[in-house]
Amino acid sequence: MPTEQALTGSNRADPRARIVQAILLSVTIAAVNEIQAALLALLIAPAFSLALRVRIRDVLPGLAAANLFIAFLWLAIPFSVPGPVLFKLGFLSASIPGVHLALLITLKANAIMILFLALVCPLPISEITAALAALHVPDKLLNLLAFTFRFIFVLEEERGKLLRAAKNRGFRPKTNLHTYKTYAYIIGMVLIKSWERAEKVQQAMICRGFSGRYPSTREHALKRADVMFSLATIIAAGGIVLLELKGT
Amino acid sequence: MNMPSPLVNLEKICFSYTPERGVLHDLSLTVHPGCKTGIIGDNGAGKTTLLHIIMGLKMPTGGKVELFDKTMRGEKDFQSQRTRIGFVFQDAEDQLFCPTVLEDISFGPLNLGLSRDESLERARAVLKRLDLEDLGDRLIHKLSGGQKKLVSLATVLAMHPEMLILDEPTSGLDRTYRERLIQTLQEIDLPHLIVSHDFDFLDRTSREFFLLQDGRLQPGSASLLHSHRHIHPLGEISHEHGDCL
Repeated sequence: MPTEQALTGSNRADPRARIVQAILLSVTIAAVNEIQAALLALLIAPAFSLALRVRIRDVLPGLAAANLFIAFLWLAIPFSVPGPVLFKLGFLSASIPGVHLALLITLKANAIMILFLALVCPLPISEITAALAALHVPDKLLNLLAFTFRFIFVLEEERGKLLRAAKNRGFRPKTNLHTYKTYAYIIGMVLIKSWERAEKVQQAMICRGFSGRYPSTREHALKRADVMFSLATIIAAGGIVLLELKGT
Repeated sequence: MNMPSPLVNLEKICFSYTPERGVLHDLSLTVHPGCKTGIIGDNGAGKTTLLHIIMGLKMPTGGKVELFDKTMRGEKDFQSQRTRIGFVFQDAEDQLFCPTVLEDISFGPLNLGLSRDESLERARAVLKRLDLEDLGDRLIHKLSGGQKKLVSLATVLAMHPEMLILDEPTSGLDRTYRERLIQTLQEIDLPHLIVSHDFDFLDRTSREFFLLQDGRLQPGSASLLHSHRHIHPLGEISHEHGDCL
């Protein structure tokens, strides 16, 4: 998660460069079909973490969550792709292409996760929006991103309040219509409150002279290190593509 | 005596949400330079509506709004004048929408056309003035309620307004921050219009008082405010009247 202390010391690569690199590499990796190429990607990704001095404890929770999801894929994919049988589990048989596919997904997903956790996640949200603005992402999308980040906690609080209010009056979730109705009411109230909040926020913005464009307080300049870093990324992407082409 | 032209002048303002139920009836109000005005009223008396009409966030169904000696005829007129008034919303959560404190405070100055550096400089200066320097890089959703209130005051002060309007500024504030807000308002010394039902707060920050009742403003005085019977929770514990009721 972005923290206020992020981006200190050597962890100061240009946010625009970081975002472009993360996108370039992850698109390359996502397109790969060869195990060797995916393996190379998984080796390259931690190198970025090292270069950017990302702490392991900032990476592990994200990776664990992603791999929990991938574990479910392993329960299904090896047994559902047709092909020569690798091993049998009771009446289920795992195919070679199935295991190959599951392995490929695992390698690729982990490589991309590690890259994003190193390149993009340490950036504070304000840096990300500023960098995206510098990359000419439309204002509307940026506003959506910034407002989501700012108000998601407020909405969560709002939901918590309503749920606590319901519990206060003896509400205990069960599998019945009363429970579903109560949840529907709570979701409905959160929506209504969001709408009202949005209205007030807009009024407050208008009072401070807002006229549609979201001004940003940051300016960026590419430094030598950023150029070198970007070159390294291009070489890494090239290496992955090369292995991929050799395999086919 | 030659009075300087008023900052805000409302003449016979009417407002209603539904035809049957009017909120404001022929309400008139003038805020002169140097005026520190407090308005008291019950819940639903139309206090917030009145403030929104001054800021042009709601259009009155009748009457005339003048800001800085100009008659406001529509959104365009308000656009050029409302940035001269610093409006602090009742709920700071509505006012602060940027990820970090400095960004939020520099939002107004940027809208006024200042450069990035000038805006940030103003933001820092305001934080310093309010003794909040250490908050600059903090994420807003992690601030306490009291801090958010002071920061939302900072966001309008950074626009160098000619007057302040505060809507229920003490709601939800604890003693410490309430006291800090009073001190700050006394120090800032800008003309203001404050709507509240915190009698003591108004008494310590304002010099002119009105009661909003039945859609109209009735003049009152500080002594009148205090002739009200009021109940102190924990009344047996000795207290001063500046304390939170």
